[in-house]
Amino acid sequence: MNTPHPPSQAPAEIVPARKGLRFSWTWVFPLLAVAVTAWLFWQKEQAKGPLIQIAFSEAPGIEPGKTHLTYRGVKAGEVIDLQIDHKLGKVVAKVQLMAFAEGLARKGTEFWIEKPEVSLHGISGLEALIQGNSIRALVTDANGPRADSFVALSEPPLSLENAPTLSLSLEAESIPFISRGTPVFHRGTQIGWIRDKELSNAGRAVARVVIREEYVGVVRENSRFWLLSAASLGASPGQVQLNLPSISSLLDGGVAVDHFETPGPPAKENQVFELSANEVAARADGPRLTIEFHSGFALRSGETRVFYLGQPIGIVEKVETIVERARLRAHVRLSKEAAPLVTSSARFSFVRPAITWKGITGLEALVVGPYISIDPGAGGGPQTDFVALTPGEVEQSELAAQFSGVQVTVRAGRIPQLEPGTPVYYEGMQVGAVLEKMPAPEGGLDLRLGFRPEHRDLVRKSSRFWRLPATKATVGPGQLEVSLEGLASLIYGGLAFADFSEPGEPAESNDIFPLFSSAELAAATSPPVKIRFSDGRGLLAGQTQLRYLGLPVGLVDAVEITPTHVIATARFIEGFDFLRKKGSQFAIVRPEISLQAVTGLEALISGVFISCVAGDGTSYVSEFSGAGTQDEKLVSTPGFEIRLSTSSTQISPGAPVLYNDMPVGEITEKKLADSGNEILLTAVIFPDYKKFVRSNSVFWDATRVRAKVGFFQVEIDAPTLVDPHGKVAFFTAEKGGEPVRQNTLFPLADKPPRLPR
Amino acid sequence: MTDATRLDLARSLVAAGLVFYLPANILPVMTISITGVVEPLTILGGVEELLDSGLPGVALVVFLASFIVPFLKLAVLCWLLALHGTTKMRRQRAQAFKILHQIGTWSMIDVFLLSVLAAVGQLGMLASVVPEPGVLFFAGMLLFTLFASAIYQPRMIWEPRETNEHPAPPVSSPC
Repeated sequence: MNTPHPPSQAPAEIVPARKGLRFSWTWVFPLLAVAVTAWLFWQKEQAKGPLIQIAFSEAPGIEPGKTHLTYRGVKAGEVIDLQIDHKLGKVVAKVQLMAFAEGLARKGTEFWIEKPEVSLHGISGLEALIQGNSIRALVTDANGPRADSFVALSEPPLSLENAPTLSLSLEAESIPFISRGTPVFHRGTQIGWIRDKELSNAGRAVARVVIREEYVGVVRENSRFWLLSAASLGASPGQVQLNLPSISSLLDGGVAVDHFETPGPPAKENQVFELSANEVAARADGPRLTIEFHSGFALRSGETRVFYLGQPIGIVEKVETIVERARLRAHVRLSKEAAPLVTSSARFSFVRPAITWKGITGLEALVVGPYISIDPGAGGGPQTDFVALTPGEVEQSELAAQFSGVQVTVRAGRIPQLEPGTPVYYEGMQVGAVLEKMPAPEGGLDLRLGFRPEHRDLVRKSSRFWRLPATKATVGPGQLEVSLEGLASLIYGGLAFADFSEPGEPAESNDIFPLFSSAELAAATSPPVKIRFSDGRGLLAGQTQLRYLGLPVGLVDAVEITPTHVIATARFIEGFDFLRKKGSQFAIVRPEISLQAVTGLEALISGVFISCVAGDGTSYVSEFSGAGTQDEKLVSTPGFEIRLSTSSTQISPGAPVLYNDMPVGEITEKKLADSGNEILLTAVIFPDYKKFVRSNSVFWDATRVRAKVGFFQVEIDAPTLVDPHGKVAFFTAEKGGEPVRQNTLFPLADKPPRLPR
Repeated sequence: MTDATRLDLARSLVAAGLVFYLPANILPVMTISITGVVEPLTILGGVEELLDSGLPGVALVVFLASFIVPFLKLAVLCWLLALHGTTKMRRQRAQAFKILHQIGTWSMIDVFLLSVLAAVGQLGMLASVVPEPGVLFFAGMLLFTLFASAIYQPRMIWEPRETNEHPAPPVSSPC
């Protein structure tokens, strides 16, 4: 092995090698290695940017050597060291920036720790969930001076754009709901966020808003901001609307911005805006005024709105109590468009749900809440301080507006319980209402009635007004009637009017009419007659009827008492004037219960009435002498009188006189004959049936009831329940009789004659 | 190639290997990201990571194979080259060279493993293994030592025969 090598070779080669000075080509390798290594390290060094320090109040998940500094998603540096600064109570991270990220080391750059966050506005920092927390940076001023020490934000900024955004401040007495990140909407589009919320030095709540770059131009100097409540419930006739600006604002609401007039110049940076509680308040940028209220239940500042024609035009900004006058003063702000409404003739009123003659009013206030209503009136000069109308005044002005047709006065002697608003009916239809109630000049009460313009022709000079009771029950034989003019009249009653005679001229304003207490009285249009009674039991003014042939034809208007008599003043309804003619007879009909008979039974129900018999005179008289009950039969049935004589009878006055089982007359009187051994009955035959009584007429007592029981005939000789007075029958043969005269005497048989066949 | 050239080449290659040894150990050899946790690992960092993961056996193997063995190879080569031409410890040198050769067969296993790992370990966001520049230096260093030990012939240990008290043991060349 060793033999092939010449021995001289080794020293020759070893010596220069030992010296190490000989440059061999082989040294290219280490040189190359050094060059590559040097180049690598040089490049690494070259890639390093400045070293910065970031102070965190806490730095969760930050590890030296692992945590990156990410700028817009690109690794821009690395945490190389983490120290705790005990003096500041902070964690200081040393971050080695990369060379290209040199621009981050400038004053104003914001650093924060990106960590996964789940909030109402979404889930952010999802990548941090996978990659671990990282430090993020946002350059706010690319041209700022260099800096190497920073204090990190405690929370991520809302917008990652470092483009020129717009920061604004919103001020309000209090700002509920909204918090960091709450969206700011402009017509439904999110244009920014609430950055933070704090208290100003003046103690007001201030919310700072960041507007996104592309929407900076939306906010103008005259823009108005208002709070969007989390969910608002809007109601209007026919619809109920639930407004949810967005799901994320469901819980913490939002802020809306808009301008309601021509847009002004763009808003300036950090401009301070007023934050209104709602849209109406935001729109209310017009005149301010004060309204005094007597009571302010449910009058709330920032909530109670002013409505005009159903549209909100303003809002109560503040409510203060004036203790010395026991009033409330509401400071109201209206929108600009509403400014022309506010004149000295404007009237304000507070609308709440209420039940009045119109039914239930202010029902909309149940949904929209009690509100202030404005009635602009006829115009006038500007005015800023108002006194609200009381509910009564409101009603009156509403009534006057509604019933603006002809206005007449009704004069009532007594004071009826009629309030303004009481309806006035014509044929059951409301055409007017009582506007006002005031004392009449000569005692009593004047009611001012207003009528709808379209119904003004219904009121004539000849119209007669009467009072409708709240309810009226009519009870009579065969009828029970309860009349109700309507729900409104159930509470207040009402007035009615009608023309009972030929309609006269249309009524003019300020005509005065009397008010009658009932329809019957009003209908009784004839001149009054005075009837004198010796006994006035049961006579009631305004109630006691006058009846002719059993039907009411008039009414007692007044009853007065003289030392010896009772004088009833009565009137007749249209068409029964003939009862005022001389010779007419009047008698009071009262229910009478005697052993023999019960009479005037209908008077038990309808009350005492005056029965009339028409006279045959030609001239009208105004005074009559009336008869009492005892004399009633004298006047009750004028007719043809005959007399019947019998030795004994159970028949008493009131018994019918039958002809062929038809009543044709009545026994009116029963008395002893002058001789004393006979009884004389007076029978009145109705004039129509006079012809049946002839000289050959046979009268008998038909009271007896015959009953046939087996072979026996049983006769019951007593008045029955059916005929308490008994009855008289007569028969007239067809031939042979002569007409008879008044007061002809006939014998009364006690059994029917054998009738010829 | 003369022995002198071989010697020069071996020396320069070992020098280059020494130069590369530094960045190979300072620079990360790979970046492992598991569920987003990005971790650039140097060789020693990897060992530490394995230790932390509760795998001391594997850590030891990696530590030996990737850190100690290359270091020893360089050191042994330096020792061999430094004692070249002398007669000191020729037997031990020959022995060491033999071991060097045998270990050298396995020396690229790390690089091989990493390349396999980088090829297989691409699970998107969940996990990925990316080779870093450090591994190039590591491989370079290994190549340099491999070539150095291949170029330096074991017979050269025995070359100068002055004061030859022992007969040279027969050495079979592994190349």
